[in-house]
Amino acid sequence: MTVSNSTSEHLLEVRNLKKYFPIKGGLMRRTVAEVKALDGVSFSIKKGETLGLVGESGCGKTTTGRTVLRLIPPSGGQVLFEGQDVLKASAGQMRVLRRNMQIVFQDPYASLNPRIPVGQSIAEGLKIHNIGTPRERLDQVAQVLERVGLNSSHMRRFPHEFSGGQRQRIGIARALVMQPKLIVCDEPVSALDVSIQAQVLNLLNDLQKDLGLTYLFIAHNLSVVEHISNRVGVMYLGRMVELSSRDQLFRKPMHPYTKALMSAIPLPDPTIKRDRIILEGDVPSPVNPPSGCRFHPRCWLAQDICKHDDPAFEEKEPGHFVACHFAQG
Amino acid sequence: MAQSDVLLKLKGVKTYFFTDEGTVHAVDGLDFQVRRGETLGIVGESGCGKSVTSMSILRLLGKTGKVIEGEIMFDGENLLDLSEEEMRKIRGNRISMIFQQPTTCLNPVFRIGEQIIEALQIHQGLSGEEANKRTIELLTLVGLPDPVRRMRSFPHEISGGQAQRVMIAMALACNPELLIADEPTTALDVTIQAQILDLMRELREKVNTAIILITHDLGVVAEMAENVMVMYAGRAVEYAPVHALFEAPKHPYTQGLIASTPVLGNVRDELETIPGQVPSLLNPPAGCRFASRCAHRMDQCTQEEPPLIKLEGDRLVRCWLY
Amino acid sequence: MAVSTTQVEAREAKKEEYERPWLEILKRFSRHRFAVASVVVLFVMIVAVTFGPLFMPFGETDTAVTKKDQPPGTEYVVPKNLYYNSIGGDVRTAAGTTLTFWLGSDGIGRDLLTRLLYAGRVSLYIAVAVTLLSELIGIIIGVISGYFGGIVDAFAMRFVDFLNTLPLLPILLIISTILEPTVNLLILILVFFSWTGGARLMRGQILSLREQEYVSASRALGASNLRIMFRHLVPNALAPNIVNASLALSGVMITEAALSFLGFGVKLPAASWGNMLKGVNTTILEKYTWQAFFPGLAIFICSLCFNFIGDGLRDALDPRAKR
Repeated sequence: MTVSNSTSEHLLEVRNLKKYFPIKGGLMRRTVAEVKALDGVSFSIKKGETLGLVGESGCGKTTTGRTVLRLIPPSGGQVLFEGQDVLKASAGQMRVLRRNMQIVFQDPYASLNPRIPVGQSIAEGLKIHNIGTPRERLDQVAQVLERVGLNSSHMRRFPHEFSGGQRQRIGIARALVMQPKLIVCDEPVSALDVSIQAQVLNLLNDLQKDLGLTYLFIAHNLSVVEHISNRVGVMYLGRMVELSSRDQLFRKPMHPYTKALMSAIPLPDPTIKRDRIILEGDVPSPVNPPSGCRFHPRCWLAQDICKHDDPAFEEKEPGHFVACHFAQG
Repeated sequence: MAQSDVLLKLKGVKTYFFTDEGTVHAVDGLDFQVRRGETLGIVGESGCGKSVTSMSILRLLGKTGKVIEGEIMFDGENLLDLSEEEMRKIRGNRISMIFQQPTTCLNPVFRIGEQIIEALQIHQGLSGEEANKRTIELLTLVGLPDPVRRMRSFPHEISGGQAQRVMIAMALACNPELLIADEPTTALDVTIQAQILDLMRELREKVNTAIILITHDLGVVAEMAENVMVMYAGRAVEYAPVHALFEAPKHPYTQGLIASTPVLGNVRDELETIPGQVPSLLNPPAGCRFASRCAHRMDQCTQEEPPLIKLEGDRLVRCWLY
Repeated sequence: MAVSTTQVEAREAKKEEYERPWLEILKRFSRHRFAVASVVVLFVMIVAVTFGPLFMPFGETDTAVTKKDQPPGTEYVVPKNLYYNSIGGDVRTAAGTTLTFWLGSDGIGRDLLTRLLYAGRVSLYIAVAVTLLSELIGIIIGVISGYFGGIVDAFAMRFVDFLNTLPLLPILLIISTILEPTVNLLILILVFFSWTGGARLMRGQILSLREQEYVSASRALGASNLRIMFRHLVPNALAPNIVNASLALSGVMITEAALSFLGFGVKLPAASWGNMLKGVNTTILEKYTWQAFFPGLAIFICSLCFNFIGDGLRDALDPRAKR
């Protein structure tokens, strides 16, 4: 939102990203099949914006986040961070990139090393990158702890002395202390109670406003994604099926899967009676995804063409991309 | 005959856990009742005691936990007075339960069919042939596709949604009078959750079982329950019919809970939050347990525990404001 | 709030210490009473076996031909001068002195206490050296194997399997015919055969821990593999290895005894706790119980101490441990 000229408008561009996990079997541990966790996903994020990624388990949203940060090696595609290809960066370039791209994890219990005081966990990045003297690092840790709403004296405590919400704040502090440009938030609130979830969401919002951060916000909870995102991408079985601005997507979803997803959410208002679209069956296995449109076995609009032809991910309306033969508003 | 209308009635139930660190007052004085055929939703955040309540009813508290006070009347009988033997006859038979993680509740080395048949043979004394037939009926009832073939599947061969259907079939196997569903859809994806909730609604009409639905998801409660009990830190803070509750929540905690939930299609710039955290149940504070986080706190709140106050329209609220 | 304000202030005052958790670890260890007591007992034992023999009136192999199999407390008048290690040199005890076998004497009239002290030197040295070295090697190979997986893991684990199929005793017999058996060689060989258990344990722990999100978090911060392995993984995976080490210690003492029987351990007449126990049979157990009891007691006390210290260390290294 702060800087925007034509060349650096997109902070992150992901092009045709693929990740296949091999399934090894047999005596020689040969690859017998592949889980197509990500099968050609493209999107971009502008500076200062929040892109939400939603989808059910196995849709590839978490894999997207991890691959973008090169925490797992991709099978194909490009990830451009400020024009630089992250996936081809050398070890030296990667060190610089790591400072700019950080991640906040889902599980506040597993994402902090239980044997290390939290101050040290937060300072680890600074230490790895040789930023500042120990004294300066200490001050930075204290500052960032205050910034995320904790007390600077908390730095000597261990993770088990904190509640889930506090730990998530520590996880955010660990990312924040590196002064990154992009933070991948991988289900940052789904392990938290509602009242704590609201606190953390507000904190993320405030930080974005104050520091001009860019978020890739991954979640399965549509309401949360709607709340925090500027644009939203919906994923299904390793593909992006719909991508649009938040308002457009939630007011006028075009992909049948998006519609079903939205209607499936129970609303905390007993007076609303909706015509619910209930999808039949389960999400198919990503090892052997359906031919044609991957959603066709569960889709109530499916025709013959859907079984054979994979629909292109097209801009049906300005800024509204959909992959469906029968997309309609 | 108002008496027999009430299926389950808890009176002053206190369940404590005796741990190395001290006594956890997990449930601290709980009264509520469930009528036959009613669906009661219990909502609250983690640690509020909602799951411990269900475990207390079934007396499955493990070694460290104990119901130290109160009575749990089920169909006129205090469950706390029963022997372990008698209790076993009630569990899975007259009161059954479904859990959050369906896949971990099925024994991985037995076929699905075998597990349901076993339950039927133990509790209802059916012969192998009868049990087999009934199992197919049940699996058809819960909408499992191709039940005859599915019976021969092992738990790892079915998805989470299907496993939850199997758990529901198992729970319904003996026509229980009370079904306790502890976060039945929390581990499932939204589209699968919609399927399961739909199934539960359908079954409720078919078999007329009373249901205690325990969840943290206000949306699920709004959709499923007739009456709702909101729990906080081991106590019930509000009890109301579902419409009344969402229309006008009375307790500050309920208000905060509803306001802090992001709602689809209703974007707000800033979510309301409840400041602070749930108090430790090792040393629960005196007075109202929500006082430290409450915007309406008065002097009285930190000194004296508010009673459950009766409001019009069958509502109860534990707050000095009323 | 569980933490009082004064505690918070105390923490605030010393907050720069957050990078030095050793004090905390020491504090937690000191709360483990048995572990602390064990450290004291072991320390006393080590001092005793190191310096004790210097003050003993007998040498390690001095025999009192007339006083075989004497019970503890038997008195003995030395008939002739005793020298250091009974081979000339300075006089240790002059003829005519009355001495006491405080722990009795063995089958050829040697003072049991003296031999116990000499034996302790070599037994403790071998046991500690073998255990520490093999755990160290096991941990390093285990963490590398578990962390990198794939071909590294396959190779390392097949090698572990291979070592485990090798029969220890025949191989030692062969080696002892080729090489001159010394204590240090013995240690090396025992280490070579005994690091595999520790490696397996460590690998198993690493396999589950490496999927933890704090590992990913650290990687996202740009941490090197070495840092992830030894800063994040090993400390979290150490507990089973510590317990394993404390149990392995007494095992090493027994193995050493078996080996000396085959001419590869500590060779008689030099004493080790293992070979003092070795000759024990039913007659000795019934008639001369002390000959078996005291070396056995020494091994028992040592392994008990190491077990307690292992427990204490495990808890001390875990900030979650209460009490």
